[in-house]
Amino acid sequence: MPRKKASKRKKITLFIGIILLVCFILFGSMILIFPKKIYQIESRTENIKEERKKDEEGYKTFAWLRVQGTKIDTPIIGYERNDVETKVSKKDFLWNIITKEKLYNKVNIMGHNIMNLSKNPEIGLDYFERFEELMAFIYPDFVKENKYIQYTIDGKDYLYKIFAVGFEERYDLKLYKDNNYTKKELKSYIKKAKKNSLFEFDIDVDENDKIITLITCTRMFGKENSSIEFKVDARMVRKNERLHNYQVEETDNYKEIEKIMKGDEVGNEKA
Amino acid sequence: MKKHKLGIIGVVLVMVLGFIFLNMDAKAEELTQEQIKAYLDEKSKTCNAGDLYDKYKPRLVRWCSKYDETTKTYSDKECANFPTDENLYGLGQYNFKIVFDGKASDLKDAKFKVVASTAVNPYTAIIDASSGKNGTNIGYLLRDADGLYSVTIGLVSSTDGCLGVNDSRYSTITDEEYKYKGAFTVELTNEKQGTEKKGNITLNTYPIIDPDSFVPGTGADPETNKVTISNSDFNKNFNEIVSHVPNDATHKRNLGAGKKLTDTDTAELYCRANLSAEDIDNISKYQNDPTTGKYYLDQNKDYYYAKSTEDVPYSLEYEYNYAPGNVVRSQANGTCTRTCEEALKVEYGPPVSSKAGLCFEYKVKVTSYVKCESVATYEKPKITEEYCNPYPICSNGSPTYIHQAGPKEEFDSCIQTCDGGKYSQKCSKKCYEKVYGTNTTNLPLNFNNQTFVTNMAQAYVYTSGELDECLRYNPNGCYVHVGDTIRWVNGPDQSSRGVYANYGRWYQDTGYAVGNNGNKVYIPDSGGFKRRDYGNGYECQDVCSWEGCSGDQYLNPGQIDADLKINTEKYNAAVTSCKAAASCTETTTEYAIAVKYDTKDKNDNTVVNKIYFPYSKSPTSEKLNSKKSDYTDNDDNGKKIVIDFAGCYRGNDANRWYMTEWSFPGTWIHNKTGDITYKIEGSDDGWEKQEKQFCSPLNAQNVNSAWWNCYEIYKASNKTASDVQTLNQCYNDIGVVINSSDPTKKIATYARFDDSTSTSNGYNIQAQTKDFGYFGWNLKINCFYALNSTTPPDGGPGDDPACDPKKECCEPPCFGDEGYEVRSVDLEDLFPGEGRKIGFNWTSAATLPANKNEAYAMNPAKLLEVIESRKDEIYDEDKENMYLDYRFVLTPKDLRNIRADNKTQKYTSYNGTFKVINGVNVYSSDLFRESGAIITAQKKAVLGYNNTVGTANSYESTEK
Repeated sequence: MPRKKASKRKKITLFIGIILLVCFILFGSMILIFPKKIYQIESRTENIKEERKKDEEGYKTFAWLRVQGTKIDTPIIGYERNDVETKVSKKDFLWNIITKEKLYNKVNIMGHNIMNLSKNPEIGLDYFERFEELMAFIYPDFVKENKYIQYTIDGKDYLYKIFAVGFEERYDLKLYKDNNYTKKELKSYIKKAKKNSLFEFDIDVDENDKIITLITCTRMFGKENSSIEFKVDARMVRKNERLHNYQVEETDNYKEIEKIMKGDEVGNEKA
Repeated sequence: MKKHKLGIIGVVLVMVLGFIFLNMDAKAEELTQEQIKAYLDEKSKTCNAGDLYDKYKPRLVRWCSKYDETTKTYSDKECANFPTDENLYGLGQYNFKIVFDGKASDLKDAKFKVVASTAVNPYTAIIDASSGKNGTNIGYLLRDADGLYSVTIGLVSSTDGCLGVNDSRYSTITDEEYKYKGAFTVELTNEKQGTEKKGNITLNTYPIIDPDSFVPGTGADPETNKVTISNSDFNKNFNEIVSHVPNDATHKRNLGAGKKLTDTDTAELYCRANLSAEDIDNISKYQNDPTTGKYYLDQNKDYYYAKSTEDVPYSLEYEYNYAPGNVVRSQANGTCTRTCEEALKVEYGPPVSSKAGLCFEYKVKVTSYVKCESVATYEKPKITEEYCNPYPICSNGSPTYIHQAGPKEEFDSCIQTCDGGKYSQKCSKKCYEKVYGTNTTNLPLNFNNQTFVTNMAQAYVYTSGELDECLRYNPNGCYVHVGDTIRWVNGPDQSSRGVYANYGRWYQDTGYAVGNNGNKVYIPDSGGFKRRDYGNGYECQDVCSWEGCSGDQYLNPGQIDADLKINTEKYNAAVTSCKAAASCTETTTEYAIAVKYDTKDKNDNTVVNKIYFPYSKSPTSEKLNSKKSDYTDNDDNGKKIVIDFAGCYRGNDANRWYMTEWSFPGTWIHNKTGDITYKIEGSDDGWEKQEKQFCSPLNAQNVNSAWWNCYEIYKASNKTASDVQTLNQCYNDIGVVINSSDPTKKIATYARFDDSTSTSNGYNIQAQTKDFGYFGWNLKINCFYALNSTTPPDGGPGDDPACDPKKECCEPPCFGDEGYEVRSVDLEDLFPGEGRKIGFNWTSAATLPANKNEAYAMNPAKLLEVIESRKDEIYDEDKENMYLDYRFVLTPKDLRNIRADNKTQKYTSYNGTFKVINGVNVYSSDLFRESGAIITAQKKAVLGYNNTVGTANSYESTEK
């Protein structure tokens, strides 16, 4: 009889092994065929409509912004007039000087930063609103994990991949440009952005892409250089392009910023 | 611009001491330097140009004048001294004056030669010293924004008779320069100190070449001379013609502006019928001598003159690129008034006396000279050195609320106080509450009393071409016109502008500070205005504009020079074009000559035959024009009537004179039959051409025979006063008179030469030209020939008054009868010289070989040889039988019989017997042969046999 039992045990073992193998293969396949989505678009078209209902006189909500890794999930308004004082009761909002409700090939979104102006910005403080959290992109660790920006306008949601992070003089940003960039202008902008970027992103970008730039204030270089803005540039995800976490490395520009940041570590105490 | 002063005296002294001979204007360099030197060395023996210079001390001074727009003249404003290192290009036109000691009247007829050349464009002018005041004159100088240019001032005087002047603008020398022998030039040196040479005006002596030594064609190639004519000859001939032009409306014409003579305006000329005794003598003397030019008698010359003044159109438009978007084009007013004169001379041959079957020549020659002078009165381009700098004007606009991305200044200040500008979270919170309160939902906006600046992205109305050009001359940037406003556009490369980069030029020109000012930051906006940058995305937002300049001012300096250079070139081109001498007309001129002669038909009616040359049954013409540089029509078969042509008809570059001589093309005469033709059909074997002659056929009837008698009687006379009287009486008798009411009319009473005439009497030669010369002269020259083959009714001198030339042949001259001539010959040389034509029978064309007629073979050439070798040997009595053909011993009875016969028979009457012997036609004279012989021949030749010397059968007369 022991021979019969031993044979049965072997069969069971074999059966379990096959099941496990199948499961393993299936699981592996799932991971390969259906990888975890690095970023999930959540439409904000309805949010715009809802938010617009709360608009007051003198401005209009016409777009929305989400930034991966941050709490930035914020309506974008446009002021109707600049010659009258316009009060905005929204707690959290961004704005575009150009208020047309259409997608340009170069979009500039501005947002307030008043609470995160130091040379060593904080990340993710709970009282941060608007674009205080944008300053997180100054850190390599943060950038390595967070590269996607969602922009909703004119009934559509668009996804962008970050390709440059850096600083720029305000008057070079052409915030008042109310039409598309020419290919020449875009090419020139992209080239300059990548050249001055703190990080090198493993991503193609050229003058045929659509670009979005998020801009906010900083005092990284002191009050006397308050005209220097912090900005994050991204280009729209191309058709059939894979969403993945592409490589990023620090550049020499970052090393310079690092020196500035390290030079003020003492004063960076939490509130 | 730096300004130095150079002592002009020092420069002049250096140059005077040097007397440097520079090379000539390129265009004058037809002589090598060695030739120049050799010539000057030769001339220096008789003149010294330096004396002239020392005497008058010409010097160049800078003339600073201002162009007055209103009066359109330059004001008299002399610069103090001549600068040395002043930039001679760039803004500013440079005027110079030649100042010399003494008055203009001291240098009467003197001219200055000015040579101003840029690196690329030389320019030379002759300026009349007499137009200046108090011994001064003014010269203008071209300016070239890019290169060097020099001024050469020449003092030309007629006083020392040395050298001539070459005006190298033109390829030929003008007459004015021929007049002014004795010249030198001075060039004023103006070199900048240092290494950089901006301009160059040099003062030193300058060699001038005697124009006579290199006028093309002078005494050299006659063909070249036919194209050109020396200026002295040109003027001499022109003036000579003008001096002969009768002062009447027919001969002196003042044509309307730009007009030429119309096709219907034809001058009819008539050759004089009542030739004077002297004329007849001259005709005989010069007819066959072409070298004297006296074929054309003075009374067969006519002179005409025409003048026309026209405004030669020239389109002149200046362009002023005041700024991109404001390019002004203005039509320059002015005229080029050209006055042309043509002096024309017509020469035509005298009437001809001839006989039927004989030939004569008839020639016509027309010559004209054309002078044109032009006066250009074009408006000069506006000249300005000034440009306008638009200045910025800003004004506060309506208040604006600005949306800042950063904190207010109060926040920054609070932070500064709190943690020294570190922006710690602790201080950030604290300052936030302080500045903004606890309400974070509505961050107070910055309010400032300024307006938003809108982006100047509007469309511009200037073209990119205009902007590109402006930026080429103004690389730092340009002010441009956009409608009524002025904007600033940056140049491509701002690196050189440093802190002024992107700012309108006004800031740099005025030195207005554009940098940071303490904590304030200034930036240029897209309009080139300086704006305060307040940070956080906004700037000073005043409304700004560029003001202060009008639409007729240059906004960008670099364009001024460029415009002036181009506009000056346009002006100079217009003036040069205006002053260019009138070129040869390109109109085609036509020539023709026609003749009439009479014949009889079978019913004895007169038939008028008209022959047109170039040979044709109907009127035709030969053509010449100035475009045909070479007469290539080789058709010699009755078509070519032009025998000489020159001047413009030889090609365009021809000193504006015209000459054509034409005649008959020629006539062919058959050697044997005497037939004539004016055009050979087929082979010309047996025909001999009489060049330039018209030969009347043998059966041509008498024409103008009464005139012929008058002419020939005098011609044959002893030419005494009585003979002259006879001649004049003869003219009177036949009605050849001068119209007493108009002595210039040389019209005979003969019928005019027209188609209605039933005979060829009257003017039966007509030469024509159409569209001759510059003004297109139409001329018809009417003349005549006379034929008479009968004995004249009257006259004939004779020594024997009893001799009646009507009836008998008196002592010489014998007028002959029915066309024969009696000529004595020298047996040693039967046909001496080139003038005597050998008759057909004596030519080899009359050779009859033995196989044609053994009994009558003939070799004239050999016979001639034999006769000439025998010479007077034939008279030797001991050879009498060998050579004698006829011997008559005239007894008194024989003489009586002969005289009686002459009373009833003409000399050439053929009243003998006609026979055929040995196959040849022979004439047997009744006088001494046949049965009715009235005289006796002691010896007579055998009929039917000839001098068969040299042929197969040599026959010696055996009959006694």
